[in-house]
Amino acid sequence: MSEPPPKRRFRSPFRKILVANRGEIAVRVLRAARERGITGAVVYSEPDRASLPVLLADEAHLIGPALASESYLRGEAIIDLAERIGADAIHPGYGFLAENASFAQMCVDSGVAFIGPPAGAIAAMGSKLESRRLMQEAGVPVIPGGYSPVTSVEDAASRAEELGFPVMVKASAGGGGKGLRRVSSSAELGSAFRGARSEAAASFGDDTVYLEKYIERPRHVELQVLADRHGQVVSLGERECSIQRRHQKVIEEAPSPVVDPELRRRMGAAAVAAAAAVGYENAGTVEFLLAATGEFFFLEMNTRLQVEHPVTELVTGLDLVRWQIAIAEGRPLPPEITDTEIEPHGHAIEVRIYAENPDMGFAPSPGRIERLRLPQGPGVRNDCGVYEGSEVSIYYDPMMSKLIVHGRDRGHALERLERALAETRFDGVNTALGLYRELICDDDFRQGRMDIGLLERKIEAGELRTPSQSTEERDLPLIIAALEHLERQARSSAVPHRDGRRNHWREAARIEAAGGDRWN
Amino acid sequence: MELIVRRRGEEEHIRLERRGSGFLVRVADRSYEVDCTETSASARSLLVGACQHDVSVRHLGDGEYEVDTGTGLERIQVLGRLEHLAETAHGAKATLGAVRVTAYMPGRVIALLAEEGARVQAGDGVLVLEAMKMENEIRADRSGVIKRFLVDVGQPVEGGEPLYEFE
Repeated sequence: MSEPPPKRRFRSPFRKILVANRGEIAVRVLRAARERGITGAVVYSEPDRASLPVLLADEAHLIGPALASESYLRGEAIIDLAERIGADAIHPGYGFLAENASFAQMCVDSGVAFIGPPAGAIAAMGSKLESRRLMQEAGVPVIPGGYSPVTSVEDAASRAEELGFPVMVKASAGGGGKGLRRVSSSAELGSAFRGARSEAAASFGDDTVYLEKYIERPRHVELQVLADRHGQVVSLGERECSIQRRHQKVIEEAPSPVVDPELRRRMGAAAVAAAAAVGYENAGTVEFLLAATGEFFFLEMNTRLQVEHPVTELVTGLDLVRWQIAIAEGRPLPPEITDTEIEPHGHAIEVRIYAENPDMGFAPSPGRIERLRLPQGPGVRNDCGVYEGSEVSIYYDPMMSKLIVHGRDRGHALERLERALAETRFDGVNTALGLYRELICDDDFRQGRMDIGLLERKIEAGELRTPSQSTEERDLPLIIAALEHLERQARSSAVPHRDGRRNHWREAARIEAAGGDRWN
Repeated sequence: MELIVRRRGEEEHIRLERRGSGFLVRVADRSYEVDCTETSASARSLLVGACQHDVSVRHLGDGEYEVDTGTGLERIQVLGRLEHLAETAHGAKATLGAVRVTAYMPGRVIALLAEEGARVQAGDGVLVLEAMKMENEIRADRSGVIKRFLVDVGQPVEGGEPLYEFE
């Protein structure tokens, strides 16, 4: 019998990392790689040829056409590429292949390090029902409810009776608010059960649903954890992510305005227990619902780096992506992280900037970024995936950038955020920047009185509408268009100025003074 | 200089007049001192009085502009007065039977090219209007009969004023 060929094994420390993602997160990973002296390679789809990650990477490799299923989701092709180019590790970013257990396993089997948790941990947390059971066994508080699938309307009715209305019907494979139904009375149960099931089947190919007690107006508070490959797990404190729209986070902050050191310790211990229960490694996030009563309940674990990781970085001073790489290389977390209780320094807030139109139900607003001005100055960080002149594609998530501010305390951070938002320009596409500026002046938000429904209630009530414009503000676009029209006419008829830097408006003004309508 | 600007179907008249290094801009009965300078190919800084506005502007073609003042995108159509009147006159085309053809611009009648009662073909000249030192031949937009002229040679006319009856 011949020996199987020796398996290829990645070098440690890594010398080259392949980023299997796009946009701002690809840029984020490239930066961490470069700071550690590691060559950064990216994959890109055809429409992303001129995207920022491609421009910043040491190597860029075409992986397929626009459609994600033919490019960024081609796990085998990406692993083949990693082997071909001699990459030691793959960083999946978030989304795409980040929480795909079989992809993580394929990486390991191919001798390429997966910068993320083991496949088993991804799979265990991928099923809500399974993870509920595991968490309950590990002593992590879970929302009262079932630990087995609901099989029929009758079954649902008897369980709901036990729990007491209102209840939630949830898809076991769920995420992003799909396959989720709130039920306030037994009359609604039948249709909610059938609706959640068919939605779950359509979205996830798995119609397993279960029942939970409905928590009234909870906050979303999540704990960042780091786990090395030597059994050490630490909590890096919480993020408050209650400002959501359609179950998508919009604004995140650290610390939470309502979490005190004692609650932080308890939630942190629960998060560490949750991660340990599934043999977690690398960076992960344990999400909890925090009820008005102060009780908290396990919601799910995101087995990847999260969009909102920068707020934790700013208040802990830790570079999470750097630690992700170090952990994947097999390095242990040092005592200064494992042996000290991590308390937040100051306060950080992140807003996500999407190409979207708040006046059209937040529909994506793709287009060319005609002008980009990112805010600067003290306490401001931008994790931006685009540049002036780049196109926001219709094919992918329309998030362009994240603005993150850091201040002494929450009030200071809010002052900085307000100032930074006023500096920010993403001209040429629509954004919700105006809405954010209204929201951060809102009394409930300023006082930290929030729950996961706050933003939607305020939008529906029309409370966040931009204050009515002054006559001058309304006239401004008209004046600009008229001046521009005049300038175009002058440009087509005026002789070039001697220094070559003509001021066309002066030119136009001169023509106007000479009494000429030069057009028509 | 007078321009007509249209936003979401609503029109305003804008008068632009040179004032120092900038303009005196009148929008309807409101006036503004405006200084404009180019900060990049598509970006302008406007000082309205001492108040600075950063704007992006892009010509979409045919006098249509996309303007971004930082609070959202707006589309503005800009027309010269003549273009505007031409559009207004065009609107009268649909009417059947005897119509009064109006001047699409203000000017002075310098010649009548047809006799009253004469049959003309589409494209035939009917009269000549002088405006802004340019002679503009007003042509029939379809064939028909010139019933009656409502103006005389040498007479100044306002935009929209009836010129002749046509059937």
